[in-house]
Formats: sequence, structure tokens, C-alpha cells
Amino acid sequence: MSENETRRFLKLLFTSNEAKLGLVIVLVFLATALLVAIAGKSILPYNPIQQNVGPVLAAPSLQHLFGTDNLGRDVFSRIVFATPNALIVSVTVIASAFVVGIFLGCVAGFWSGILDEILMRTTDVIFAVPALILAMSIAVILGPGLINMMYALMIIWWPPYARLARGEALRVSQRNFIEVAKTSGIKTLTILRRHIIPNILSPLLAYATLDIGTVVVVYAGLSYLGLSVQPPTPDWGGMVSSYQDYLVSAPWLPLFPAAIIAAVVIGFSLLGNGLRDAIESRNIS
Amino acid sequence: MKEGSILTENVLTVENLSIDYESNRGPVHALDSVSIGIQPRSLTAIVGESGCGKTSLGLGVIGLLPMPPVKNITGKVWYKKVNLLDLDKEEIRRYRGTEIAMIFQEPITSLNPVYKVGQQIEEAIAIRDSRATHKNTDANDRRSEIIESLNRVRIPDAENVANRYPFELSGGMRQRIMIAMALAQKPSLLIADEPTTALDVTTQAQVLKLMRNLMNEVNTSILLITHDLAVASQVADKVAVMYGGQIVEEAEVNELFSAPSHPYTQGLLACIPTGSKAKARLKPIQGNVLDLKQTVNYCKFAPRCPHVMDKCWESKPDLRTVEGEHKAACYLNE
Amino acid sequence: MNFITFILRRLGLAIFVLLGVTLITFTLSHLVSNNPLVAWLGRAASNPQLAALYIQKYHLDSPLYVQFGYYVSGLLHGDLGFSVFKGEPVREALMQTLPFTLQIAFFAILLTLGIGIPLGVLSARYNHTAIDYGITGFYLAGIASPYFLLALFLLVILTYTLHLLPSGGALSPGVPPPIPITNFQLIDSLIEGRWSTFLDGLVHLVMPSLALALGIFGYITRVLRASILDVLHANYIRTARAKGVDENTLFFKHALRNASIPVVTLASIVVTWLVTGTLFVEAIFAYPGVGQYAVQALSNLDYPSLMAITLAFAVIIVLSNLAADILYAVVDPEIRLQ
Repeated sequence: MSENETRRFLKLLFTSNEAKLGLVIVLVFLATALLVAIAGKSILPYNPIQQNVGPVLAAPSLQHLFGTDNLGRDVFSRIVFATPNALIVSVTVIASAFVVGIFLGCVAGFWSGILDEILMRTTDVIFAVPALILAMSIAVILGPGLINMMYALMIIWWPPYARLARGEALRVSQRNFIEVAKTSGIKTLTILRRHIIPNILSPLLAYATLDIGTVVVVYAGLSYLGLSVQPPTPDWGGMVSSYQDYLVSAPWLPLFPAAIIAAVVIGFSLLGNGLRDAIESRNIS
Repeated sequence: MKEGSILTENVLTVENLSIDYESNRGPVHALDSVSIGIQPRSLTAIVGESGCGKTSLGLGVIGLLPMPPVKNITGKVWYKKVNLLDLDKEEIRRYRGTEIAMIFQEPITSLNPVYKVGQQIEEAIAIRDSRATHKNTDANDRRSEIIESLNRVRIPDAENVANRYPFELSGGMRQRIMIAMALAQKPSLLIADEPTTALDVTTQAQVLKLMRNLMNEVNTSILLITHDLAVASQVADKVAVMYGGQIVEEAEVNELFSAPSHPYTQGLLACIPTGSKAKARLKPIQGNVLDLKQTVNYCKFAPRCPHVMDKCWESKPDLRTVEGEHKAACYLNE
Repeated sequence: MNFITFILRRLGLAIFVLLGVTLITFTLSHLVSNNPLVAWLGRAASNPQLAALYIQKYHLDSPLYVQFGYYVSGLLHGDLGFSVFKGEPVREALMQTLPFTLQIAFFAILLTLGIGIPLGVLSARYNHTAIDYGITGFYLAGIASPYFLLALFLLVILTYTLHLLPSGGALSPGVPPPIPITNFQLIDSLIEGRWSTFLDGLVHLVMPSLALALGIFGYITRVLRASILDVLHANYIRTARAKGVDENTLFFKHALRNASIPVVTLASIVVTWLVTGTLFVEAIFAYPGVGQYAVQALSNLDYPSLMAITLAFAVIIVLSNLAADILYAVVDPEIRLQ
């Protein structure tokens, strides 16, 4: 994109208030995750694993922003400490799905024929089982743990990307100038690189941004089921399930982590919508 | 204007109609004090290029102008002794279809895709019935009336077509169905906004001829809006040429084509490829399309007029009689 | 290609897909351990009588592809393995739990449509006003919520604060369950005339269904709103207006009918969410459906149950996609008659 186009695109993206709000949330999330990943426990007000840093089951206060849990641990520190998990998992899963999806989609869309059929049928089968259920089944084999959950999700996450990429590749392949390029002897790889992939990137990027929220939700679900990091290491989903019993006596315990998950998802949702609208109006104008 | 006699003769009388649109760069004057009368059992063609205001005129008569962009409407539109512009939304709705009907340019998208053609015509008939003083049709009557209306527009195999969905039919057929649907409501006036523009030339001729014949059959006047003078020449009784939101010339069709009195009309006629001379060159009208945002005190055509005089820049010429019913807004004729 | 052919093709595809899923579950369960008995019996694999029985029935000493054949035929005959922690064949456990989940799903769909459609219409009608933004905020919060947040949230408000609804279970303690005829508690209690059981059952369904519906209705609202606004600018609406049609008829008969078509394509997303969500919602509300069964199977590492449940969910999704395709053809004549 030229400089002017980029400027206009960014302006479009951030005209809507929703997109701006989304961006703010996403930036806070990213910043927190990076800070914790780099600086570790030192930047947190309290040690997330240490018990009895405050009274047990204390309500939110100035000393303990999100209160304390049944073992006297500071909930705020635990939540912040668990932030990188969501980021690592979602970024890795989406990135791998993106790459795998583009590759398979281009192959299927460009060469068509039986390769395309295989891709379509395979994705059909994977689509028939909900992501969480399939990931769960794979997780049972791999065993619990953050990395294992990441692998499980990576295995099943690529189909929508492959389909999107295939659709775009198909559409672009059928345009006349591709015929011209092929007959004038340009190498297939070059055609792919120069003509097809740039066209695929935009819609896929918009989808990916919206999709990050979905990964976060599914991962939170897996974590809730106890399949991710094991206690005492905090993780958002896991915290919700372990604090669930305190819903009556200390509702902030399960509700805060759950709400944080929702907030992150909303942030990516708004940002993704803004991105998609900006891309679409760029295509129209 | 002799109001009394014209009002009782004309089906529709438009009096000094002006319409302004709102845009982010100021108001756009789509129509500038337009006056015209439509006689009974006649086909009047309004001709002009895109943006001259002709569509606004059509929509404005039956209150179909979208009110957020449209800001001001002044003037009067007389129909059966009622000023349509005085009516509120519900009142004017009662005039739509059964008194004044309108058909539009794109038959492809102008019919509802999820209902059969027969059902859509039936809806038109039902509306007519609900407004009649005595309901005189039942289901069987309506069924046969649908077939009859399709036959009237020369659609073959009407029974079959009535059971089809719009996407199953051709563009020409769809436009005929639009005409059938409009006429089924027995309006006194049919406004047709570019009805043949989306059709191929052969179908175009057929539909135009059909409209002309129907006019006599069902006693409906037609106001035909088009950008194509050739179309007007085929079927019109009277032609009004519009430019810049104004009527610049108005005459009986033969008169207009044989003795055009406004330089714009003359320019338009010179543009028509006649194919008579082997090496004839097309003579376009020089200059650029008018900017309707400006309010000017001179003749709007002056910047492009090959016969422009000093007087033309000093004041706006009115629509004046040239001879008999032939009127033109040009100082050349005075 | 006419309608019948269309349906037959989709049916063929559905069967193919289900076969593919069985391949996945078969592969997965054999990845758990080298011993194929584990796939069928889980921890009961060490039981000598069961082991002998299954080795013989399913030819577990034969090569894998033969085993797969017997696996599929076993499935078609209803043998889904044995659940150790439940102490009964998986099929029995599923037949007990599936009706409960279907009850939740049914009401969840009703609520989803009942909330999603009116809000979609409202936000289209009052678009770009406070009402529109309010509705958007509301459904965004719903869509973004992880499966368990809505359930917990409802529990806190409706049960623990307002004391309106029970905290869980299918029936209140002390309310007699109906005699199982269809295995659907609601239907059975209706048939048997047990009104108190029926009403009590309904009351216990409210929160689980609502928790699911709140998380998914937003998609319907969003799509419907966009679709309505789109349709209102269509030429055929202008034609209808020119015919003299009144605004109400214009909206409900002409616009809405066309605007609903894209909503059908959401069926897949809705069913997927419902199916996944039941795991969490049933766990939180202690509702005895497949979701709760799945979570228990997970903590007990009961592979046969897990694989069977995965398969069951796939069947539900494939069937509902098929139904959605048929519905789409019904609603859009262009699809039907092409």
C-alpha cells in the first residue's frame, strides 16, 4: 500500500469509537502480558503464589484490588500474572493457523482439482466437531499443560483460514491476468507470491483479529476444565473453576477472572470489527 | 397561467416545484421552479442528462423522495384539485398506485425476489380493492384479473408466468410485469422513470410500443422520464427538455424535433448519431456538467451555449411561448 | 439440479463427514495407548472377561483397518464401549443424559430466537440511536463472555441475590420424577399429568437455557440488523411503496422476509456454541445432561465415553447443518429452484 493509502486506511480504522476502545483494551492486554513476561513477579504488588499475603477471602479493597482468595492469595496479582498465558496461546495458535491455512488454501485454490476436494472434505470433517470438544479429546491424549493445550489447538484451528485463503485464491486465480501470467511463463511461486497472497492477506487479517477472542475463550474453557496449567500456578479459566464454590460467599473470586476474559475478547472483537470495516471500505472505494 | 381551465383539463399540474437536497458541501438545487402540465390520455416525455432533476421530479410528485437528504420542497403539485405537497405521509400513500403509479429503471431488482410474480400483482389489486368504495372482487376474480393483466402486456403463457419467481424471468418480461402491476391498480397517471434503459434495444422498442398502446386501452396518462431523446421521439406526444433543474424547452414532439428553439435542445439533437452521412462526426455539447450547488442569476446554459449573448449573463430567461404550445427559456427567441 | 438432488448430495456429504469423524475418534483412542482394549474399555481394560469379550467381538487382534471396520459396524449397532466410572455401557449413559441436554438446547434455541430477532428488528428500526448502541453493547457482552461467565453471573443474580430460581439440578429435591417413557423428563411429566413435576422441571431449565442463549443471540441480532438495513434500501421496497403498501406491511411482509435469509446461515454457529456450552452450563448447574457426563468422563479419563460423546456431538452438528440447508432452501426460492 502506498503511504497515502496507509494513512487513509489508519484514519478509517480509528474513526469509529468502538475501534478506538478496542485498541485501548488490546494495548493494555498486550502491555500487561509483555511486562509480566519480561519482568516476572517483581512488578506485581504481591507474589501470586504466596499464601496469606492478606486476610482470607477479603473483599476488594485498596490493598487488594480484586480481593483475596481462600488461601489468602492476592487475586489481582494472580490475574495479572496469568495474562501472558492467554497471549502466548492465542498468538501462537492464530499464527500457525494463519500460515498453515494460507499454504493449504493457496495450494487448493490455485491448483484446484483433487487437492481442492481433499481440503474441502477434510475441513468439513473438522468442522463437524466443536473446537473445544476436539481440543479436549486431543488434550486427553497429550496430557494437561499450557504447551499441550497450545498444540491441541494448533492442530484444529487452521480450517477456517484454509477455506478463506482457498476462496480468495480461487477467485483471483480465475481472473484473466493470472492466465496471462501463467502463459507468459512466470513461475508459479512468483504468481502466488506477487498476485494471490497480497489479495488474501487483508480478509484473513481481519478474520484473525476477530478470531483471537475466540481462541482466548476456548483456551479459557480448556483451562476451566483443568487441562492447562496446574495449581498453584494461576490461569484465568482455571481460577474460575477453582473459585466457583465461593460464588455465594465471595462472588468476586470467580467473577473477576471471568470478566477479564470477556473484556479481552471484547477488545479484540471491537478492534477486529474496525479492521474489517476499514478493509471493506477500502475495497469499495 | 390560466389556472382554472388548466387545472380541470390536466391530469397533473406541477407549479413552480423546487427541490433542494442536503449535501456535505451545501444544498444542491435539484429542481428549480419547474412547471408542467400533463394532459389526459397523453404521453409526456421529460428528457435530460443525468443530474438534471428529472428523477427528482418523478419521485417528488408522489412523495417518494427520501426525506433526510431532501430538505426543502416548495411549489404545488395539483392532482384532481388537491395539492399533493400539502398531504402528510399517510394521505399521500393513498394516492400511490391507484391514482398515480410509478415504475422504475431496474426490473431485475425492482420485484421482490421471494414472492411469486402473481402474488405481487395480487397485492397491487388488493390495495386497489381496499381503497374502492365497494369491494367487487373475490379470490377467483383476482386470479383471472392477474392473468388478464399479464395478457394485456403481451406476456405469453400468463398462467405459468404468474407462478414464477422474478429471477426465473428475463429483463424484458420483468419490466412488462412491472407495467402490468402498475396498471392493474388503474391509475390515472403512470410515471415511468427510465423504464427501458436497462433493456436491450429490441426489447426497448417493444416495451415502449406496449406502453403507448396501453395508454389508449386503459385511459392512463404517462409521464416518461428518460435521458434518451430517441426514446422520446418514438412514443411521446409532448416533450419537455430539462437542464440544470429547469425546463428549458417544451413542445409537441414533431415541433420539437423539427424546430428546436433552445440551444441545449439543438445540441442534443446534433448529438444523435443519425448514420445518414458516411463520415458524419458526432458533435458533443462543449463545456462541463453544471454544478447544482450554485444559485445563479443568469441563464444556466450560458457557459456552454454556442449562441450566448451579454443579456444571457444578466438575468435568467423564463419559459416563454415561442409559438402556440411551444415554449422555450431562451433570450434568442425574444 | 433440483431440490431432491440437492438434499441427497448433502446427505451423502453428511455421511461422509460422520465417517471421517469416526476415523478421528478411532485414531485418537488408539493414540491413547498401544492397547486397543483401552479404546473400548478405558480403565476396565484389565478386566479379563470384558477383555476377552471385546477382543473377540471387535477383532482387536487384527490389523488396524480391520478393527476400524468393526468399530464402525459396532457403532452402527449401538455399541459405544463401556464406561468404567459409570459402571454401564456408554450407550446407556448417553440415553439417560442426552434427553436432558436436548431439553436445554430446545429452550436455548427458543430464547436465542426470542431475544435475538426482536432486538435485531429494534436496532435496525432505531439504528444509530441510543437504543441501537445499547442493544449492541448488550449483545457484545454476551458474545464475548466465556461459556461459564454467563452461567455464574445468572446464578449470582437470580439465585443468590434475588432468590428467584433454584441453583441447579433437574428437579427440586422432593419433587417426584416421572416414570421414564420417552426419557424426556418434560414430555413424560406432561404425559403422566404430573403438573408439579413439569413446572418444577421448567423452572430448573430457565437458567441453563438462558445462560446459553445470552451468549449467542448477539450473532442473530447483528446479522438481522445489517440485513434489514440492507434490504430496506432495495429497489423492490421502493416499488412496494410506489404501489401504495403501508409501512407496517412493507416492513414485515416485504423487508423482513428477505432479511431473514442470511440469519439461517447462522444455524451452524448457534448449534456449535450450544453444544460446547452445555459442558460448562451443565457442570455449573449440576444438570444431568451429556455436558455433565463429558466433564465427569474427562476427570475420570474415561476414553470410551469421551470418544462417544465427541461422536454424538458431531452427529448433532451434522444433522442440524443438514436441517439448516433444507431451511435455507425453503426460505430462498432461488436456492430451491436452481
